[in-house]
Amino acid sequence: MAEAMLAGRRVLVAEDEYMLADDLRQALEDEGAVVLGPVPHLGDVLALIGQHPQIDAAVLDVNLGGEMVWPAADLLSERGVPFLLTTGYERSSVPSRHAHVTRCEKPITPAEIARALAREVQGCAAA
Amino acid sequence: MSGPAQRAIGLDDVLITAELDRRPSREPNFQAESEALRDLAEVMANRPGQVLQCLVETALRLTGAGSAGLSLLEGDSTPAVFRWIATAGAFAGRAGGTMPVDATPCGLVIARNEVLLFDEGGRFFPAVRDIIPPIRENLLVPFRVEGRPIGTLWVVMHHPAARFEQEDSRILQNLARFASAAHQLVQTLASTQKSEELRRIALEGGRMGAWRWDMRSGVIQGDAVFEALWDLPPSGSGWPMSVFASRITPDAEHVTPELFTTEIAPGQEFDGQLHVGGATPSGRWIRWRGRAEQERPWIINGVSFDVTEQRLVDDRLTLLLQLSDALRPLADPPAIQGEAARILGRHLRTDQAFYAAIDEEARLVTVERDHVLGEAASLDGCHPFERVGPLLEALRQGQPVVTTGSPEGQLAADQAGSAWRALLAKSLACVPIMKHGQLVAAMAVADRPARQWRAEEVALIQDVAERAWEALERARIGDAVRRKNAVLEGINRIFREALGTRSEEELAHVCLEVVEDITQSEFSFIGEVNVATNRLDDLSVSARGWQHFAMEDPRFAQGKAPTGLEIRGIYGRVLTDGQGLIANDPAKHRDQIGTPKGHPPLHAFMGVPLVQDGRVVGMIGLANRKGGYRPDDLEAAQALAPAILQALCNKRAENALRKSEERFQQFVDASSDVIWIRNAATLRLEYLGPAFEVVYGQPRSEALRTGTVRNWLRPILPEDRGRVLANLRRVRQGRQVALEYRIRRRLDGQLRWLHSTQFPLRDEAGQVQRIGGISEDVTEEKATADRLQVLVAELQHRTRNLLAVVRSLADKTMRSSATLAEFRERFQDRLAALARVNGLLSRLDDGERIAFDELLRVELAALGMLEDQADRVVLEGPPGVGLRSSTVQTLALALHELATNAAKYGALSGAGGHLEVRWYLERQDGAGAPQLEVRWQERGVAMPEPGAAPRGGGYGRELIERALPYQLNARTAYELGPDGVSCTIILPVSGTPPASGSCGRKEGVHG
Repeated sequence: MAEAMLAGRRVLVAEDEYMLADDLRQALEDEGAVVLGPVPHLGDVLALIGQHPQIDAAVLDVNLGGEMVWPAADLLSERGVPFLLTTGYERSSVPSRHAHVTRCEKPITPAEIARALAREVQGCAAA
Repeated sequence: MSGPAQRAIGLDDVLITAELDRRPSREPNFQAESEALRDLAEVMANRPGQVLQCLVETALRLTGAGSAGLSLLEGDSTPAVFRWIATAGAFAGRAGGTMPVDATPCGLVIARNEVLLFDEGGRFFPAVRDIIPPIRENLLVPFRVEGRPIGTLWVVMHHPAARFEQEDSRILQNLARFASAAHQLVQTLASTQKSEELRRIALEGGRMGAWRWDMRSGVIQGDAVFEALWDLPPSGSGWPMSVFASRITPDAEHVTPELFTTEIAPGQEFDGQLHVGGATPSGRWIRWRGRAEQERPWIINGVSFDVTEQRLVDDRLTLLLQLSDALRPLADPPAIQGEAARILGRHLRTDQAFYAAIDEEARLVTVERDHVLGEAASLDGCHPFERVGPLLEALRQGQPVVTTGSPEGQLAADQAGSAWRALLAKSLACVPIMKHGQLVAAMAVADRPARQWRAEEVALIQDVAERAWEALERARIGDAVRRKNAVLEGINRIFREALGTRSEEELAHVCLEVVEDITQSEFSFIGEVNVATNRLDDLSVSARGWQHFAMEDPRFAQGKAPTGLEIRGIYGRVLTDGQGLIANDPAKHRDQIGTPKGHPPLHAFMGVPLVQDGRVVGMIGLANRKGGYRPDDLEAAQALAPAILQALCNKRAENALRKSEERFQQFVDASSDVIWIRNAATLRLEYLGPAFEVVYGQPRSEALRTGTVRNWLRPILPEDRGRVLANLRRVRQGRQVALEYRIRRRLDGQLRWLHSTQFPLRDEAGQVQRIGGISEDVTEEKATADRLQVLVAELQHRTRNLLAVVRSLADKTMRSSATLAEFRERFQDRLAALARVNGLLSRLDDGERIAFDELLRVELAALGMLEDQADRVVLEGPPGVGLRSSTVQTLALALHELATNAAKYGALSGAGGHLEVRWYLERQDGAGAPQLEVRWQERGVAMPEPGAAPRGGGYGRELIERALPYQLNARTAYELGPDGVSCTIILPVSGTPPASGSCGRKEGVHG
């Protein structure tokens, strides 16, 4: 078995759909990550970010129970935390300031999300 | 000092007639012309002396010339001169002046007998050089009488820039023709006045004799003059009454025989006239006047004088006056001939009298209506020269032919008809009417053989013949003028009625009526050649035509004219030759093809082509003039044809234009888009559709009044104006553009989005002449599109989320399934549950909610619990508790798992168990959302040993214990009690009521 791609990484997960959130948590933990969350509401996400000064990466569902995740994304950007967006939306609904962010369009397997996030984190570290 | 060598001015320098063909010319104004000619005809009828003056004034008016005039050759002056008979305009008042014939424009026109146009003719003709005001352009047409030019009708421009046109030439020639007729009429009237003078001269003749009549002795004693009057030798003693009585012509009129038998009262006067036969063949008329003496009333003294001359003149004048009165109202040649013959025959007391028209060309003698008494045979009809015989040769000498009964064979031709033989056997007096050295007519009387014709009688015949000829000429000219006038009147009527008619068909009927009237046709049609099929199409049959037609041909409905006729037959000849034709015996015409069934009998046919730009485009067919068509009728129809074609073409163009305008108007009126047209050069608005007021919220009139671009830009948002202007420029350069821009509506300040398509409108040369624009208010569409985009995004989100859930569900189900069959069964169940809840969700309108009891019932029903096991299920709780949409799916899955487990392993899996589901709505204190508490209680279930693996894979329990709290902020409890599952779910619900369909259920449902 290959080395865990996200070993020891603290990964924040925001996903309102329990089953997807749980699957994702499982996939990330399989890769060695320490999952913060998952949380289903924007308020929870913002709180989590506030509580954890050290966040290595994040997977953000764009739409959290009807609320858009952008305030959280903005906070993470400010802190230079790499993150992925999971979404059912078209690109056009992503604000231009986050247009460069890697988007994982549902349906996607949690394992794929984990791999994509690992690339993101490594790319970020390399830079 | 010497100037440049001056070239002599030649005739070619001043004669510029050819210019007329090169100059543009205005269209004929038939109406004005028609009215002018009608006025002239009226003047001619009522004030013939003024007709020529009126004519030049008309010429002046119709051509817009500076001066106009009529010059006539003065025959008896040497050298020959023109006299200005009438003038108008700047030269008015110069009438009566003369002008030499040689070396003048007038002279040249006479010499060439054609229309000429001069430019400052004075440069070449010294005679007209110094006239003031100066003559610039001078247009002259020959004034002909009987084809011979005897003068000119002319118009002059005094202004250096004024020009004559071809149309002026046409008008002038028309007027000159009219003038010719008028001139002849004036001449005729002048000759009548001459005879009045003769009468006065005649009255002065005669000498007087004196006599004394003793009635007792019966002797009349008279002087030499008296006796000479009676052709008696001088006697001195007088002559007995019987001598006188024997000399009185017994059948003479005005005889007063009572004079010899009645007593004369003393002092009584008498006055009488007697005809006395005697030395002269014709005898003489004697007038005698006398008075009885007072004392001896048997003695009468008196005077007598010869009134023969006077009587003849009187007789003749009486007769001629009678003739004039009789002929004047007549316009019909046979009537004129008949009346002249009748009056002459009665006056001379002859068996026969007639007027014969002689046509040397056709070699025909035509007697229209003769006067016959008793047994005499009528000569009415046409007689070829051969059957008239040597009489004609005698008449051609120009002298009267007088016989007292011609011996057989002397005058009669070998082939002479019996009527002519009978005529020539009688005493005949026949006078020729010669015109220009040619025999044109003759007038004759015939009586019993051996009648002697007196010179006065022959002279009288001559007089009557001349009068009759003049009357016939006048009728002919009048007829020509009338016909011409009728043609112009007809043209006038066509153009006048064209204004009132809507369709071509209607106008065609008017045109046909006019042609029928003028040509006295019974019916007519007009048709157009269809270029595509080369057949005669679109026939229009006149209203009178339809009265005659039965049209039994089933192809042609009554009142519906045939179409697509092959071009053949007599009408085909008109179309192929492009010439008018007359067929007065159509059945014998070489092109005849007969008439279709239902067509009325055709006795006479006349066709004229309709020619446009040298191409035959159609024709008019006319039928059944009584007595057949004459060349005059063809001429009239041909004169009408161009006007008819023009009127119909105008109507067609007008209708096409109107239709296109109507269509445009309908389109514009119906359009909710703002349609506008702008001048490409000035960019000013030329047209603005009514929708402008709705879209822009401002009156159209105001926008059109200030139709500038700047004004147009005003309501447009400042940031859009540059784009709008740039696009307008592109359209001006010939490109079509489409753009969107925003305006701020003045009426309510609303922001409106306009989608505008703008395109160039080009003239015939391809230049952009106008710019057209169609601006659509797309504000609503834009809003809808925005909403739609949100909806699509939302749908995407839901669908993709759902797919992710399905994928996760599949994973989970797979992990907990031992076999593929088990997986398939569970997965299908769960998928079905998902499908059901999504079906419920998809049926919701905006803002509607799914009620909890509905969701529950759907799940239980799907497992058959509400039917087969209804007695083991209790459902109890308030209906219509609305669930948040985001919670519905997970809650539904949880309920599905609970129900499935109950059915498979729990309360409903075996006998004895039962299920209770109770729910309550709790309003929390404060502003918090209301909470729904659901209690799921199974009883009577044989439970497995504690610690055994959860039956059903534990997915339901995971949903309840973890997913619901995670996702719905629910508080849940799940217990495996001793006799069954007990589960509590408390979750926040919507404050709004659910969809109406789930309301109003009975509170508490007991299965």
